[in-house]
Amino acid sequence: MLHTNQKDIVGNLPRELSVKVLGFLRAPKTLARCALVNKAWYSAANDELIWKTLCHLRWSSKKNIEPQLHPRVDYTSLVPTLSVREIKEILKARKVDIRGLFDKSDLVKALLSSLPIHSPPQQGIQWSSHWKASFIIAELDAKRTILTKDELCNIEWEFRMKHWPEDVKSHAKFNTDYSYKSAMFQGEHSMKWRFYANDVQVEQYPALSISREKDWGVVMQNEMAIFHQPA
Amino acid sequence: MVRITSSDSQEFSVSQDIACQSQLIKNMIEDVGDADEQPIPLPNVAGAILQKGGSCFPSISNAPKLTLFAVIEYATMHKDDPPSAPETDAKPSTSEDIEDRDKQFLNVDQGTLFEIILAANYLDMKSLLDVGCKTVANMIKGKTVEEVRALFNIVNDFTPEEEEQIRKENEWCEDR
Repeated sequence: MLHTNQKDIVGNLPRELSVKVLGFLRAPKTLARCALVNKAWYSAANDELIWKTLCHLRWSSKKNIEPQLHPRVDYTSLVPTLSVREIKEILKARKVDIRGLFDKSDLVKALLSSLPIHSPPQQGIQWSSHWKASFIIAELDAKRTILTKDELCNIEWEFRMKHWPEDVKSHAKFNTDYSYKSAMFQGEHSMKWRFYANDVQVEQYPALSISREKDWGVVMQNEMAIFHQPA
Repeated sequence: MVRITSSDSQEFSVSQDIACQSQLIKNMIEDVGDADEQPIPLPNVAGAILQKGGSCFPSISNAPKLTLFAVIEYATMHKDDPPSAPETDAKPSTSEDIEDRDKQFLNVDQGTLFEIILAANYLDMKSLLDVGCKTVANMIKGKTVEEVRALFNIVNDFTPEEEEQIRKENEWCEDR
């Protein structure tokens, strides 16, 4: 092995070229390791554009994710690097009403006080970039098996009884007023739903436990019935 | 033919289709009009002709530094390539996408690879810049932090506290 010709190629290139090199890796694990090599590598390996590209590639085939900065990132350590436009976007994704918030300081205050419930724990983490944080939080959030009311009620559920033939399915809707409508029970008295611990229960039927699929879609099921998020 | 001179005043004569793989040279020729008149100076690229007798571009470590020569060789090798299809956002190229002859060509010592990347960037030769960067990316792939430091002779300049902080952020990535 010839040591005389060893050269820190990545560290000595202009930053845009170091970023280009690391941008070809497209593997979070490798990039995470690169960030630990030294300070020059850290800067290049946490580049926003690299991680934004990774997010878009990874998320394009997934459900329950929008191509924007993730609303469940705790942005406390990133505030100085966020633009007003970005803060507004995040607040919008968190469904925070920003009318009347004109100063950046007001927007920041709203940002720091609106981390959604059930967000992955992030205490003590100093995020190095918006999109890297979004990438990691999206992966953790994709395993979440507890829904918010909004999430449950926004999905047009595909529903089938487990004894039905595979290709038969129906539709169901959980409404914010806790009424439950299904194509199966049309005309009958309206049914009610409620949260039961981390599960969802319709009337006195066995509670539906929530799980996640490979494409990050949500599934709810009990012994008799299964609810899918449509494609 | 186009005449180009390197930073160390060596003159090269190359055919126009080869020279014009450099967007920089192409623009210069278009600006000046007649390329035969005078040589095109490339003050940022060393010429560094190989010792005669050396085969095209050996990977021996005492080969002279970069090298307009190597770049010209690359351009010659690729002169009949069809224009590359534009990359799509849906499927951007990765470090896997690299031709065998390019792999061979860039099987050089780290200093030379570094100079080639800089030259490709300066000369605005996208395909050479891409394969150069991919080659470095492939050297990094699958290595631990310690292995990367050893490979490029890098000294860790983090304090233990900083390192701990970064590990914390990256925890999820390592678990995968």
